[in-house]
Amino acid sequence: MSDVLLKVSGVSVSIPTGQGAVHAVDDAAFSINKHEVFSLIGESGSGKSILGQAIMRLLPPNAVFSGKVELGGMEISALSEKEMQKVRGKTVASIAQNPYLAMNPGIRVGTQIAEPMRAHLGMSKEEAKARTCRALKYFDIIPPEVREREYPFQYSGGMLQRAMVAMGTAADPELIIADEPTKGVDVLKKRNIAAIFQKVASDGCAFLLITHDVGFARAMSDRIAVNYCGQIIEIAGRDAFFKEPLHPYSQALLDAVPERGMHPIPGSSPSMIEVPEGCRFHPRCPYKTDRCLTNPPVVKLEGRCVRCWIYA
Amino acid sequence: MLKDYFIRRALYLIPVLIFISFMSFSLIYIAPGDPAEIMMTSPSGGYDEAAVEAFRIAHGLDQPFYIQYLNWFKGAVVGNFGYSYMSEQPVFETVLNAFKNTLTLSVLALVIALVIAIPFGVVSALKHNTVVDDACRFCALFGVSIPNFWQAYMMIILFSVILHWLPPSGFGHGTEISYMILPATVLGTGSAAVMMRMIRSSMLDVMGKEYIQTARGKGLSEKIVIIRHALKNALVPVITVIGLSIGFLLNGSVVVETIFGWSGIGNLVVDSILSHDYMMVQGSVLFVAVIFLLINFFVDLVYVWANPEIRYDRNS
Amino acid sequence: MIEILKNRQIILSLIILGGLIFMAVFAGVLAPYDYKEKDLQNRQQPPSSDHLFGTDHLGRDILTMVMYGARASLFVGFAVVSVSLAIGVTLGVLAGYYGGWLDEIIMRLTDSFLAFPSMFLALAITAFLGQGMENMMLALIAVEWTVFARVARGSTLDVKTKGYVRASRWVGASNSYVMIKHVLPNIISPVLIMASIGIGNVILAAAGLSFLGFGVQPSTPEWGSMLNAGRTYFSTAPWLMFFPGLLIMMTVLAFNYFGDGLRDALDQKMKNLELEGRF
Ligand SMILES: Nc1ncnc2c1ncn2[C@@H]1O[C@H](COP(=O)(O)OP(=O)(O)OP(=O)(O)O)[C@@H](O)[C@H]1O
Ligand code: SF4
Ligand SMILES: [Mg+2]
Repeated sequence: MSDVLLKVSGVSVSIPTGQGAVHAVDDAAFSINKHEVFSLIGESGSGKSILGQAIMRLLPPNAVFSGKVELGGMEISALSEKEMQKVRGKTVASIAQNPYLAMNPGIRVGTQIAEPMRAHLGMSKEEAKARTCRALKYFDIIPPEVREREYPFQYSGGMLQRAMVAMGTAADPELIIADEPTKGVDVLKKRNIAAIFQKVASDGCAFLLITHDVGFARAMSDRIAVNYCGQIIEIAGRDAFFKEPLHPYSQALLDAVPERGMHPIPGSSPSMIEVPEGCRFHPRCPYKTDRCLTNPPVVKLEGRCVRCWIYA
Repeated sequence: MLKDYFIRRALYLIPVLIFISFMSFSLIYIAPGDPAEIMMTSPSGGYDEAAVEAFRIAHGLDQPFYIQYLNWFKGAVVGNFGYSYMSEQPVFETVLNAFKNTLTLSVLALVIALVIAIPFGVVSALKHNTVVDDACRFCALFGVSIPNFWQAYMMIILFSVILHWLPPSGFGHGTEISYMILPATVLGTGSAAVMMRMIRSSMLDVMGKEYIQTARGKGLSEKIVIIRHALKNALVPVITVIGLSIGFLLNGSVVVETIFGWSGIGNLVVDSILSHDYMMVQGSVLFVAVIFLLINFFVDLVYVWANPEIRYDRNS
Repeated sequence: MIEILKNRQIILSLIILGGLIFMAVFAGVLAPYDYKEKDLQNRQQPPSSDHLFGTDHLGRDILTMVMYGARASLFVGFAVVSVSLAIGVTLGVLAGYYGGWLDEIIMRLTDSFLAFPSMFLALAITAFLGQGMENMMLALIAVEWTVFARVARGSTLDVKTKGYVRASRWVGASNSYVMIKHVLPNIISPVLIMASIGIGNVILAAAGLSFLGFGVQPSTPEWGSMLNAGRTYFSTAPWLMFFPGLLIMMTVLAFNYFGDGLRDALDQKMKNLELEGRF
């Protein structure tokens, strides 16, 4: 078990709102191994981003968290905020979706990339600057000495995307959480992003990819987890998953992709405030029986697991 | 692009400048009675018929209104605002000197305002929807509601009469800070309140931006996130209130300079009215309006220049 | 409407304003003395149980004068803002609705008035018209109407692009019908907010002018002129200035607090209507 990097167990997050508490994450449990690319897929609003924020401990201030997150054997969910600051950007870093929103428009790109180095690697200004230039060059942002001094609005979109990856990897993290890296991006750009991520992954960095782009997840990942209405309902190796999805929702999700005829999932996504009783998918499930009105167990089968009564 | 914007804005200024020159010139005609009589009326109220007639001819007041306006306008464009009826000094020079003194006081007031507004605005935003925020916002309302003449006397009573820390009023050589502190503080209060509200909402806006979350994700401490990533961006829109604040400061200068005996333009206007020096009143008012207009013009340009996105927006 | 009345800030400011108006209207009944009554034996008495706010240099009761003073200040505030509102809203709606050269002229005119720092414009107008309450009010109107013209124009432009307004023009409703039926109701909220803040600003400016001796003359009880009269004795009898100033501040604060609460309650969008009155 020594190659487990991230272990999430029994994590739940709820956010109080005017209409009632949003149960964004319920009893999430999974682990990511070193050097592994792990994808979390699921429809919009199912709580994927909140789970990522829970790992980084950057939840909205009013969110209620419970559960345990271990990173490299350390229980980061129990750290003080000050200790957690030493972990963020150092052991686990995040890469946001939209580089135009995620980069500070008023600070030079080079300075922003150098920040994690100065904070975590104890580098002087000059050392960080030299390393930043190497990082820019590594990601094809040239000439680095010039680009380093520019502001985000002087960059093209693709270049800024790469700069953001350079910023995420600045302090050599062991895990990167990337939230919707391909949202609203055309096919060509998607390929570029995949290429950069693969480059970083081949250097040995593990990934938690949060996406609702099934094709992207298939191209990138070693393992896949499916999220539905705040719960992880299936985790499996990539090939096994695409060959034979077990959970009825996973099956429906794969049938909904264009290559398989784009069959939409019947019914509508449930409310995250008043979640359906028992199996959360039961109002839309073609296989539902009476027992589905009670909580289904998480069934473990040869290296994968699924939350459904059929396999119990 | 910025150049186009600059030119378009500058062209807008022209009709406004003509309008305000016309308004300033006409002021004398809204007075009941004949301008020559008004001009020649001594503070005690009497006037001499022959002198009025001489004055009328000497100043071209016997000519039609539009000719008079054109003559006056031609002079005003090159900075000839006429001569003071009281001191016979050129109006423009007197006004300019007074304005320099007002400027000294205003700059100090602006600094005081920023020193108060930035910390309170930031704290208010960071603690938003808490008691601290409510208290800060109430103080800001308080700041715009307090009559400056009253505040001036209350501060004189406290700091000069009771504590003997500062002189109650006076001009000195126009450079001693001890004479400036009280009037500048009174002047700065209103601007501080307006700026505080502005900084609060701008800071709130910035703190909700995604790049703040990114900065936290890099493992930076909250203090650094706020100072390095939020504050700088939050302060850019404050440029726009500086124009507004100049208006506040100029308005305040009327009362504050009169109370503290500061030889600025506010004091000059009040004195000129009391001594029926209408040329001086007219000249000061026109001067202040033109300055105010130009300051706002430049503030706007600086703001557009500091914001590439807005620059783009305003052009389309 | 019910929502608005649930707002604590609005309730509180309404109570204070109600109290002030009540005090102004019933000053004759409520005041402990006659405001003209001079008592030369008791000049410049500090606050005591006989004279809660003390007496002035002529022995008049300050509390009484402050109560009567509310009349002048509130009257000036309401009257100036009503007239300014009528002028400003009319011009602003016309400019926003018809656009084109009419808009251009009205807006350049507004800009020109706005180019003068308000206190200088008001002062110059009073200087040339001559001192006195009516002239001061005229001067304040000349300054205040621009606020309403701008707000009304902006809101009219907003409303004009709305589907239902376009639709009703499309089906041939007359311009005046559209303006009264659709445009006016939609600009009421921002105008109301600015009116409340405007009354506060006007009271403040009027007091300032009177304080300088250009507004209400000392024979009428008014807060600004009381301050003016008290200047001479400020170090020996500070209560002459303290109480009228306090009342001005309370009144202005209440109007600002009300306008602020109204803005929060009515619309998120109006958050950008800053407290940028003209004074
Ligand atoms: N700050 C917040 N306050 C209240 N509710 C929130 C907040 N952030 C997210 N939520 C709610 O939590 C739920 C999960 O949100 P989350 O952003 O994790 O979804 P997601 O799976 O990432 O969806 P998407 O694909 O749209 O990004 C949603 O129902 C959302 O409305
Ligand atoms: S538990 Fe029942 S309802 Fe839920 S997915 Fe399985 S079969 Fe369908
Ligand atoms: Mg998301």
